[in-house]
Amino acid sequence: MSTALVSFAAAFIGSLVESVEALTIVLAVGLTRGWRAPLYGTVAALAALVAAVVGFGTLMSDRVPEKTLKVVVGTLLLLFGLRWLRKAILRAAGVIAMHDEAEEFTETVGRLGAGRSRPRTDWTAFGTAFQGVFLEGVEVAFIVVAVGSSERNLPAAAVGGVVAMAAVAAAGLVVRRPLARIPENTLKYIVGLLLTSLGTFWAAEGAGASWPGDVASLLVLIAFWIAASRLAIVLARSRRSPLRPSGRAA
Amino acid sequence: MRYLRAALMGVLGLFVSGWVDTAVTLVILAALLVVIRKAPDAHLGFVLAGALALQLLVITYRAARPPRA
Repeated sequence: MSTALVSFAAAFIGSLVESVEALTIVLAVGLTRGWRAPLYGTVAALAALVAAVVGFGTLMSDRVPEKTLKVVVGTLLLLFGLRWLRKAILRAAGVIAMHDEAEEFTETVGRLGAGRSRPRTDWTAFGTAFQGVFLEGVEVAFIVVAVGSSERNLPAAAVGGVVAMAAVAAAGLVVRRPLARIPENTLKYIVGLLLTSLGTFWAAEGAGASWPGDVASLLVLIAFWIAASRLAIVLARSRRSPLRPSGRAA
Repeated sequence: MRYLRAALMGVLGLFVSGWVDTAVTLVILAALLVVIRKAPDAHLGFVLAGALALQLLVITYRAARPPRA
């Protein structure tokens, strides 16, 4: 196993989850207000994200010394991964509600108002699609740049992100409704585990630590974070309060 | 401007689940990274993982606390 494989997996699964959420928003906008404006919004957001990935990815890979890069990227991955892990643990323990694409879809449709008159250039539809795709995509862009630049694995991570996005877009074209059956919460838990493990590995390595067995330690770290998160779920479940809304999905 | 602000808050929100928790994570990281620099061969990376896992346990246990009557 190499870090390239873990980078690909993290980018692929992360992109899969976020693309499902972005698809829900675009579908809701398209089905209620017509397709032209949300499609323009989606294309504009994707263009901005590609520019960010290429720009930041190249800059970080070429200009930042490797050890510094590992500390910075490792730290950011840890913060990001722990946030996803925390939310996944609380969802698994029943403390906060599971993310529900069907509910998100209904809410967006209601907010946009299906029957209202629309101007020729529907900026609301454009803006809603742009914001939805951009904000969900920023997380994917971060994962791709972070896991890709640290070990010079940018192509592997980018391919992982794009393949997942294309698969979700194709599925959306076929079914034309939110992909509610995708086990988003489980996938987010897996991404949280991978990013937290990679973050721990790179932050310590960037500071000069030697890992026994080098990359093989990554497997130990993944196993360690699985055990820690399972324990956290058990402890949280034992102390659980009544369900509360999760707010915006991670 | 509205979208720019939303995008900025979105990016910031990627890393901050709560300011205090984030600050504690950064302090743990900074402290252990300094120690690791001084003793690189002591396999202190696992200590870093342990400290952060302990913090995660505390955060999630605290979040599951029933509301006070």
